[in-house]
Amino acid sequence: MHLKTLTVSELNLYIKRLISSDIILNHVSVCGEISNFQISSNIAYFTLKDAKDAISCIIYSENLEATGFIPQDGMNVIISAKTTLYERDGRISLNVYKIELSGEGELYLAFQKLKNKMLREGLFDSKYKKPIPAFPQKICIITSLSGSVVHDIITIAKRRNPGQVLTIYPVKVQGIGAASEIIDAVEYVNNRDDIDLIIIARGGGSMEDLWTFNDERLAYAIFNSKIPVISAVGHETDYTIADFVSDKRAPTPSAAAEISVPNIADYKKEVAKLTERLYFGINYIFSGSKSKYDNLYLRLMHLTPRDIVKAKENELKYLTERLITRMEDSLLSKQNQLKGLNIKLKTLSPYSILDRGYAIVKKDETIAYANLLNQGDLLDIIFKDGKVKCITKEVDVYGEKHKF
Amino acid sequence: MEKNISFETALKKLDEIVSKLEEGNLPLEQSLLLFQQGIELSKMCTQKLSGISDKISILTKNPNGVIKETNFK
Repeated sequence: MHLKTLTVSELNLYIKRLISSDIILNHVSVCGEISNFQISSNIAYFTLKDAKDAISCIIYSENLEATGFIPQDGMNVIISAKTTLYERDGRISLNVYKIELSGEGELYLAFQKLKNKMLREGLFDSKYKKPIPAFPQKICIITSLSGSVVHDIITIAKRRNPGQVLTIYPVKVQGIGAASEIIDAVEYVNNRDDIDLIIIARGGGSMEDLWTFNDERLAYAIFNSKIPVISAVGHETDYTIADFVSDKRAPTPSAAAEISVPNIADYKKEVAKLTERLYFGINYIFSGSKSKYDNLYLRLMHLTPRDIVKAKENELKYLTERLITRMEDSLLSKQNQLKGLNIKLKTLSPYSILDRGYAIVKKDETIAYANLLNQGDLLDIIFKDGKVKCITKEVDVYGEKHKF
Repeated sequence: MEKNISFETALKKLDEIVSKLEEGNLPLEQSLLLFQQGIELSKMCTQKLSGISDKISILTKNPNGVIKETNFK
């Protein structure tokens, strides 16, 4: 049998018809490992391979959206597809309309594979972790506007610090293009100079739902961010690559607000406490100086001449008093002595004998002896009550024997 | 003292001043100077803490891909 010679186009057309008329090739189910997965605007390309062979695949974004996760290189999947021939280069390709993971643990395995790879590359190293500012000037929250995440974060942030400045960068957090949007957001924020903290947040969901946060490119974008990034994806038990590569992982979006926004009430207390200590400190120093001063003042006062003068004054007063007492004593005794002498003097006065009945003989002077007189001498005899004039008749002087 | 220091810096400085003052072995005049600085810092901190703002904004992309910042809600 001799067949007609065909052009390439005719052959390709023939093969194409043949394929499309084959029931099996029209609805084929194939298992294999994904490699070279690439997404362009509304179509994704990848190669499905097994240990020996490979076949190229395409999937349109609407079908990819329906899979619930973003396929990644190394994932073992079962695809449902229609076999087609690309006439332009005569290549057979699978037009995939459904991708399923070939086993329950397949996503987890893919996650582990990527995680181990990045771990080996050192992307999770603590030396690359940037410190979270204690007082962020402006926080950018990269998240979806749907759901309660934005509301939760704002509520908690405002409760902790009513003055906290926040900005929201709305993104898709699930499905095709979500990772790219988040990457764009991180890169955009890094080109601004007013934002000093990024929170990438998403509410809870299945591992498929959170798959965006296991994107390798997103991991690098977070790693390369100059601004510290807090990841807050899903619930406390959910871990994503974004969590490992970010500077801090918050178990939930609410926790991200707790971690990033300072509690003003605590700081107010701290400032009040420090201020109190400040006053106490200066008072202590003052009172110390005051008592030192008081002490010195007292000592100084003891040294002042005023006290010395006062002491001397007291001494002088004492001495004066003593002097006066002495003088008075002495005067009194002199007076007494004088009195005694007066009495004595009175007793000794010649006139006092007249009281006792004696008389005094006078010839100009008092005559005490008979031999001082001669016959005819004119004498005065003085009595107590008067005087008598007499003439001496005879003088008889007693001999020695008769003297009294 | 500079007015534009951050709250953290002001708080740290205040803490240092209080500690220095509490050691109590500085001359009175220097202590007074420290006290004055401390009071200023305390005021500054309190001011910074009492700020209230409604500054929540949203970053949206217009069709030309230009991002604009507008008030949120």
